[in-house]
Amino acid sequence: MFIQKFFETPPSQMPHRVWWTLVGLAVAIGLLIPRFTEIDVHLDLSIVFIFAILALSMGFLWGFVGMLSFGQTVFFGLGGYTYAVWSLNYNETTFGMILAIFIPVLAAAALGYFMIYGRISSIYFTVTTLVVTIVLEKAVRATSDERFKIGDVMLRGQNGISTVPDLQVPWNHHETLFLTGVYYLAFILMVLSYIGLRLLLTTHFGRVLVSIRENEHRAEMLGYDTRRYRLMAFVISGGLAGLAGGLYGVWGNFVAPEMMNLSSAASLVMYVIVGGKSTLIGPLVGTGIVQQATNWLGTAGLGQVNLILGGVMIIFVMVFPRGVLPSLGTAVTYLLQSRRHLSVQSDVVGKNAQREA
Amino acid sequence: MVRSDYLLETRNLRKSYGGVNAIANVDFKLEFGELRCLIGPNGAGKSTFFKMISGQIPPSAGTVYFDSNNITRSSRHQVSRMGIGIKNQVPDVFDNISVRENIWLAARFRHHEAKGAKIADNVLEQLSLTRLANSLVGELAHGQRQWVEFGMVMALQPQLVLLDEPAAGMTAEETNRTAQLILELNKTSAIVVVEHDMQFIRQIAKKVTVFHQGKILIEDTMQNVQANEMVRDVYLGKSGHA
Amino acid sequence: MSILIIYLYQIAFSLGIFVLISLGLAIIFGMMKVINLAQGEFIMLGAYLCLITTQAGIPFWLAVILSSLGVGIFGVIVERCLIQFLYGRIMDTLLATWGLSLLMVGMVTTIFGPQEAGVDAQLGKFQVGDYSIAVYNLVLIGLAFLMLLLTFCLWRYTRFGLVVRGTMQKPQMAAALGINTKYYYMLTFGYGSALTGFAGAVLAPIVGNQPTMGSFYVAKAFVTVIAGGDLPLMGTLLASSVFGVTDGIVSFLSTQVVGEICVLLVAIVLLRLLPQGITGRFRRGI
Repeated sequence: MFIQKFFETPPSQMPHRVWWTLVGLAVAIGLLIPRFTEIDVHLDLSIVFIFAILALSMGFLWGFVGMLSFGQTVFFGLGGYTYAVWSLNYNETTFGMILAIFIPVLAAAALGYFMIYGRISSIYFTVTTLVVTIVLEKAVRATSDERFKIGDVMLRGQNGISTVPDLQVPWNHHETLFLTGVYYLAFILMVLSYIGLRLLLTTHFGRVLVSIRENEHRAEMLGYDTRRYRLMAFVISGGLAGLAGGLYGVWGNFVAPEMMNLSSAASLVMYVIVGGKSTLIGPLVGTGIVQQATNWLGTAGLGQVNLILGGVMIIFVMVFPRGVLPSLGTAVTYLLQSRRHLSVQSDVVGKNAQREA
Repeated sequence: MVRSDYLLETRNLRKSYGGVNAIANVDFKLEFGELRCLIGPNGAGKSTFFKMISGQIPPSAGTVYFDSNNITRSSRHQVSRMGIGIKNQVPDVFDNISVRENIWLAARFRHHEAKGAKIADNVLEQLSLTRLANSLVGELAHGQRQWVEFGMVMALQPQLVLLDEPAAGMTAEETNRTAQLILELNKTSAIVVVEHDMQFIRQIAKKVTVFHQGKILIEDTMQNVQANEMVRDVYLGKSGHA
Repeated sequence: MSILIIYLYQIAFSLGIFVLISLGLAIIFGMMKVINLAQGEFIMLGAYLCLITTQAGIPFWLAVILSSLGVGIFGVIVERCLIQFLYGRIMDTLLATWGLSLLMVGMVTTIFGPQEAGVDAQLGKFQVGDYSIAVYNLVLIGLAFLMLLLTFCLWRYTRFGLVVRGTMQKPQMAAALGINTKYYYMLTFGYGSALTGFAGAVLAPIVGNQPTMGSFYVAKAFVTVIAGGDLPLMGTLLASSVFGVTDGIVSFLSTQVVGEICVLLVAIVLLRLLPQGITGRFRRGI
């Protein structure tokens, strides 16, 4: 069946025609939404897209390379702050955005090198990434004093930088992207990231990454230097997270240490768990669901949000360990198969009835 | 540097755990293109020796040479790149990927796109796995999984193939097929096989090395080894031979 | 001369804190291999229990004991309801305990509100040169070592300790010998929780207690246990020493935050050099 073929295309093969059609459809819808909605919807959706890119970076690393990193928020924060600091110092946002990707890439390379080439086990890797994001947040939070500045820009500790400039259009510095413009940018970048990663999985490089997730030992025995591949994957994720960070700064004209705190890291893990890590679309869907739910609950005080976040995480781990999408997929397959059983049975019953007649 | 006469050579190889020598002062030589079987009773040190020559555990002392290169401290991926294909006892494959993908990954390491794909297809044919090409390896029967791994090693087109109990857990029919595959493979690669199954050994063996208590007891043709009294004693547990 | 004493004090104090907050995790993560990301929140719970009991008029040291027991019982409940289903599923345990930590923070915030609360336990201070050292802090250092010693004796010299060690190493073998492994898992987790609660309670007088204080500790505790390596008790002591020296000296010369960052850097370098932790290759010992 057409539908089955679509769901069973392994990541290593080029996506099915149906996939491209659906993506095209989604892009069309996404580009048209702003015409039919108010500005507040554009704002809400933009932040979903931005977090979706972040979730994608984490989900890709976890689901397809087998590395669980709780520290993508490190690069998210670095990206945001880099954009802010550069743009405020030099009044030049295009390069600021480029650096927002590049600096996290460097950071990921350094941190990744230490961990991956040091051959620490996967658990220690995960916990270390968590530790780094917590410490970085604390370090930035401690910069409230006036003397902490990079160039002319004060870091202002836990107050964050609230004068982050809008993104200038690269070919016309007097025009800036505002609200709806940010929507389009975030949406397009999200789609490009998604397609980019999907295509990456079809290349030799991507397929080796998946093999490393499956059995690193065997991959090495085929001659692949798995450390190099894993480092590269970590760096790519870091860059994507940095991009999301820069966009976040543009979106809210604001960056703060909260971007890197435990709560942000937890939310990120939630997006990926809810959507499921076995697909690339999972993190995107998960972000959408969780963000909506959080908004809906947002009116409640801080206490309740943590409560619900925690409770949901526990429920998901116990009941839906593979996330919403795969569980839904399994449920759908199960239903379809039982239907088939029923129709086969009625066939047999019919035939028996005929024979007896 | 004078090129060695031997493809694989160990000198004074030793592996000790605490005070026990799992392998003690083993000098081993393998010719280019040779097919050698390593046999011996349980605990003789065959697997330990195997793991050392395949770069999976470091020796306590001694050296391993492969085609005149010292590979004693080389890492796993370096050993593979030098031209050694390894198949351990327990199937070491990529379970959630297709059969073809498993073999393709091996072939593609050494060759570019088109050639890699062709080699993968050839190997699938040789192993009669073509109709299973798109199945997930994790879903295959044990014997078939062993063959997939075998195929991966073949696709690497290595100079030396190391096999640890390749017939383990196979039916009689599968064992025969595996023996044929090994003989076929020997036309292009040297092979070292560690095995227990005497039937299997008889089908493929030319020269055999018998291990006992961490040392080489005797190295000779299969016929002579089978007739040898010392070997029989060692297998039947009669003590007294160092 | 007095400056030397001050340095020694700073180091010992920092060491003591590392030991206190990591000991419980050393049992839970080091021995049981359970990744409990709610470790910080268990400390927080201990602190808040101490808060409640002292405000109810109970003398401080009794309150500490009650709080530890309270957190120990809570640990047993958590083990029965959550952890026991996830043994062996490392990633799932990690995520579930993270959810638990958020849940705990949420609950405490809802009940107590997000602001800081304090506990009073003045024992006076004395002067050494230009600096004053609080007596309470010295008591704390003593308590840290006391707990370490207590646990060591429990592990090494009692039947309970022997059974626990055996069960953690080879559960099937222990079961084959007729040991109710589930019961011992529960007790061990409870003991580890109680130790953690104790840390929270005794630290309550000297830190600002708020629902989110856990995150301050979880990073340090994990880093200590991981850097410590295979042997939970010896490893914790050694790692705490390394970090205690680093943090003690650096935060005295600079600020708290710089001290923390230095500890992290030292930890990363340590792990790079000894990927299995300090005691990773030790074959004997606890």
